[in-house]
Amino acid sequence: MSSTAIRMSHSPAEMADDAVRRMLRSQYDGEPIVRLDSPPGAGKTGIVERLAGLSLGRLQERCMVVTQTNEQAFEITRRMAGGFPKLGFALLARKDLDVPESVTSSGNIIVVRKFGDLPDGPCVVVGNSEKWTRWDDRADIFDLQIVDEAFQLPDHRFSQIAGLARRIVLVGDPGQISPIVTCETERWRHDPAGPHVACPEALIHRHPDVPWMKLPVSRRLVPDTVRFVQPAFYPDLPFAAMTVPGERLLKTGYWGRTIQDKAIDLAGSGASIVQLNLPAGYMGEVDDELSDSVISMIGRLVHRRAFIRNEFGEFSLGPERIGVVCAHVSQVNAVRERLSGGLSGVFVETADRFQGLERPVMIVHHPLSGRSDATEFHLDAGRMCVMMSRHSVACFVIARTGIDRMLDSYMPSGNRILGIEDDPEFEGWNAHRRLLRDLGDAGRVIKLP
Amino acid sequence: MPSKFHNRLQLLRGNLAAEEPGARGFEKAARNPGCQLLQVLTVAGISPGTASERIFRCGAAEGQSPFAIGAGIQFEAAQFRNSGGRVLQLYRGANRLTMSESRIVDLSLDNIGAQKADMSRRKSETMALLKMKLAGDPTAPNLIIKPRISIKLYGIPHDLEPDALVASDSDRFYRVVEVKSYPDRAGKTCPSDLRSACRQSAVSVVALRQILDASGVRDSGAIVPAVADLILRKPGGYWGTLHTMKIKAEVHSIEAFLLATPFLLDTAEGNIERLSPGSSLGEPRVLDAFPTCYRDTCREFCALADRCKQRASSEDNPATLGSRIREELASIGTITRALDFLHGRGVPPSKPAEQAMAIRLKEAYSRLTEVVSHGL
Amino acid sequence: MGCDLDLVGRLGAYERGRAVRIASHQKVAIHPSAMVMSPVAMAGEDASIHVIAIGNIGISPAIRFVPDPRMRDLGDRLYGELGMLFWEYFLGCRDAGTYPQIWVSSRPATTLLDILADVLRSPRRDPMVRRFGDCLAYMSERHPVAGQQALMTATGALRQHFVTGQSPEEDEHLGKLLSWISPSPSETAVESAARVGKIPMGTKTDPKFDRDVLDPLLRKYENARRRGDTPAFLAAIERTIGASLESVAFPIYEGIQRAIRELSAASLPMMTDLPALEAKEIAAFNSFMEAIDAGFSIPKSDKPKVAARKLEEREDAEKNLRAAIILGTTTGQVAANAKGEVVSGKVTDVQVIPVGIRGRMHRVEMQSEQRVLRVRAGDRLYRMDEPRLCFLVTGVQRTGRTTTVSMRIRSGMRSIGAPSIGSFLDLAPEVPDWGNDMQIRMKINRRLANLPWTHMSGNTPRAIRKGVTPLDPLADLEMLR
Repeated sequence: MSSTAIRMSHSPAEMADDAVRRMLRSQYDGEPIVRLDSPPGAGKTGIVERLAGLSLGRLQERCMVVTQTNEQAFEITRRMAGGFPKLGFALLARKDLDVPESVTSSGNIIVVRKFGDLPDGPCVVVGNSEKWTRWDDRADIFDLQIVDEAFQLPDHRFSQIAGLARRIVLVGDPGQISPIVTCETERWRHDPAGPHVACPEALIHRHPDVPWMKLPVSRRLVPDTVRFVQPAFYPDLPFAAMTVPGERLLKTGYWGRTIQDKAIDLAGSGASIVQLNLPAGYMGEVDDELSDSVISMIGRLVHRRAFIRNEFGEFSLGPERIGVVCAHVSQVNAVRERLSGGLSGVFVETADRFQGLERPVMIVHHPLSGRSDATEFHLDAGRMCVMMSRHSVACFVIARTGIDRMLDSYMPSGNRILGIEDDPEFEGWNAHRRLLRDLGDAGRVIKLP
Repeated sequence: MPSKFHNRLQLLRGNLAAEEPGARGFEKAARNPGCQLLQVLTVAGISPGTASERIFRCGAAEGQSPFAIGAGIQFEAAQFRNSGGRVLQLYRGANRLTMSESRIVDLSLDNIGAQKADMSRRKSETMALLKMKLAGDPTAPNLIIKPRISIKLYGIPHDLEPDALVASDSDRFYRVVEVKSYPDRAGKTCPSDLRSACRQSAVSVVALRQILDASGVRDSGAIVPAVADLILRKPGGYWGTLHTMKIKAEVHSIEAFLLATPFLLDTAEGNIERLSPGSSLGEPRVLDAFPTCYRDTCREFCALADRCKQRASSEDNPATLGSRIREELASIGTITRALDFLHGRGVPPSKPAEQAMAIRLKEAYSRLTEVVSHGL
Repeated sequence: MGCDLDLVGRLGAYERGRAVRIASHQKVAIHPSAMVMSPVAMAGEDASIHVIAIGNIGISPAIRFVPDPRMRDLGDRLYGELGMLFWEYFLGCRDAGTYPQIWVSSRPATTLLDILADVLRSPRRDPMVRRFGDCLAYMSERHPVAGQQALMTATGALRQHFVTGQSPEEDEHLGKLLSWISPSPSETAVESAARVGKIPMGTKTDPKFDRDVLDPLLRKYENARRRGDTPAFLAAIERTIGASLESVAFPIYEGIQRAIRELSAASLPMMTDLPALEAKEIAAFNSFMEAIDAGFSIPKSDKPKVAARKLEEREDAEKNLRAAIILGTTTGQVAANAKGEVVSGKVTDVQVIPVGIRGRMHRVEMQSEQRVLRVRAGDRLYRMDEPRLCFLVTGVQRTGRTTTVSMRIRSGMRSIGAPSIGSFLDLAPEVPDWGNDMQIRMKINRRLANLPWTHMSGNTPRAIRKGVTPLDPLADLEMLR
């Protein structure tokens, strides 16, 4: 196993700062558009925050920030307001949208419900992409548009907001789940710049000359995780971890001797990803035994008084610091219904909903577990990538034995699209195989009885 | 002189004559890695059509319509007419060849002949041209029409004829070109047509890599990347369109099939020894001993699909109800058992997965009968 | 989970040897003046009609054919004739204030019409051939839109209402599908399906038929033409070709008619929003006819503005149909409930909270025992029996098998009122908004009147410097904090 090498002439922190400087310079240079690709947890929000701060605070511009969900809009507005307390920010929200108090109570945030109420002159306005497509055309256009999580924005929606600003920055993670389009797209799917495609990809196909920058460092993922995740899911985006090995660890207050404890101890010794395999079996979508294993893993962590040691100190591992990610809603429900009172703070969601979120410790319900074959949905590299990159300290993958054999006997169906060179189904299949092999080779797979 | 592998294969075939699988045969065998039957037949040199007709006595395979064959031949001929004029035009239009890159060698049957000696000549000439290109000879052709190469399956060469090989002067080696009269409907192009075209190209890619490996060339994978050019038909005429496809998955599937050959041979011999010593694959019960892994898509390409469906049906296999239901009922295994659960009869569920499925089936069935009672 | 109805339906059908109905309501319109047709192409000639049986519901077909579709002049004569027929039908529909509806056998037929639509609209073609292409293009354009009622496949319509004991892929063969829906008394559905499965039901003839019957006839015809045989002799061969082709097209046509009869015979109540879907169809048709009157036709490929509009309209149609099926059919509701899209439960608390001086907010809490629930904070839910009453979900809490959903009433309080404690609610995730597509159209037309440079070909605009870059822009920016 070898991750694509990163030249380590500077420290990861220096490399990350240099990337931010390059981005900021591109704004002084007045680049009409910049695409910024980011590995998971590389500080996208920090970049968005700084770009907006620069636009308003230094360049005296009108800046619009486009998010993909309301939650992202809240989060980014809070971050900006906290990061630049001397600047004012506006949140554009639907009339009946409940805006959390943490946003409304901030002294330098105004919530704007109507386009006409937006400030004149230099400002930073945050809103979701749907809201921006309804922007009043008669209003002034913006100087800068920052699109956060741009790989979740389909190009047809981007086309409706691209004209609202003179300059654009598209920030996003290319390894995540593609935009969800619910309707038939046969008519356009041969077009790599079609309306259903993630807008940064479509843009590069239409304008291959646009500046394309890449963030080289993940702040969230530890080096041990990067060595598994980068080669499997980001073969074209080399990156390193900000932290050094051993800087972030999962520790426990008590010892234990169950199989789960073995996995926890392995994580304590620096193995940031450990897979626990239940015996092979075809289980259908909801695997009760596997859901029980997820709960018992959480139980062991809590019982052993696990805590996190990281660059900021030591923190006890309460349920709110644990996340569970599944492929299907039914699996989410199966886990949630097992979380008794004390564990109700554990955040359980599907991969789609976990995008952009993180927890120090994650438990992954393997999407191919207990299946007799794999569909495009389950093989999707983006989905697995999201699942494997939400943790900042440790990740426990709960699966069933036999995924490797299933993958060998289930070759991708070969549903190719004329005009599209790439084969995402195969890439997903390959990523899964590589990850399984690498984890196996590294001794990270433990059998559960 | 026949090798020991030849002899083994001959024994496996019994009194059936060896059939050349061709690129189509290889690509079919690679499509469903779970179907050991098709893979064993391909390795042994028995086509699924022959197995259906002569071993299982299921009647002759349908074959292709003479109109479809005629249209395919005419389309291909139109592309290569006038020294590949249309093909060159396509490559120039795509900026893949310049006006001066027009050295063409036509090794087609029409040009060389169809006798056995002509075939050997085509093969040796192809090899010579490939070597020219590898050696960096600036006079190497840019387009080789109907080259003849071979792919080795367990050491035994099988001849293939990709439609063309193409390379610009600056390219290190040739790329496989597959000409198909399938209508190019952009995003709506038939997936089954594309699957077949891509996988057939992959067979030629693997063959070229083998040739390079045999010539001692290092890194054949980089010199012959998993990429193919497809020339399809613009609907309503005889003009072609050019598309480049990455075919990593397809190449992988062919390579995986080739790698499995020794195991397949051993399994085939083992089955014969166990079931009917001294017999061959010509015995239906020997063939029936191989797992088939029936899927709906088998109908697209395999003459044995109907037979395999019958077998799946007799085995009470949920695959006969479609791939989704096969997956749903994987924990139960058979349709009868699922029906027992649905009606709450038979042996009670023993495993947790069965238990969960039994509850689901029963609940759903009662809901369905409730809302469409007179429909049941 | 949500597909469980289909799963048990298929198992039930397998067991009974007969298809099982899985719809409580009729989800497709059967237009009384619909046209039924079974075009058959020549193998290898994907953009051709060799023979077509065409008629109305319950009527014997007219058979139209060309001896050899590879001869373009012959083909164009047929397309021109069909163009005339279609155009008259389209004009008739416009005059009657309704919409055209065409029934074909299965997916391959829609593919054939789509290919023809592209090929026949070439400017080099005869105007009536082009008109035929325009009409087909309209049908092909409508076909992928959810809930459309213009181009119907018999297999598609039947499959929305019945499941069989064979695989969904096999259901795409109309003959096999019908064998399960109304099996003959003399054989089982499996036997019948195996038998009729050999009869072509798509758009291609059987290769053996081509080899043994058609090819010799066509050769004879071609030779006679070359030799300059008498028109009477040629006509005699043409008649033989026609008769053999009719034997292919007619059973397909009959199959479609049988499918329509089966659907009608089920006598299901109409889905509540079926008239709304038909109204959408009329609007789409009128818009097409206006475009034709103005000299426009449907483009073969879309520019970014049109693509954006069409995609959003299709997504909107998808959403509306989903909502219409959940709200307007019992089976839709049951399936959505099983999937966790419809929330069903008991109201456990209702509180009125004063807001501002005179305002009031109604908070409602309900508990559901559904194993799977897709509801999340921020979602809107609509009372299924009174969709005007809309709730905004403010929290979802799961304890064991019980989920508590906290909501506030968003709209409909005055007309419907708050639910009472102890009452049971079924809440749907969406309601159809049949006027939204017009809003989408207007929004995109306005917004993309001038396409941004990002979506046009050509060079990226020049960068315009924004003042002097500090030596360390990051340090400079950090000073702002």
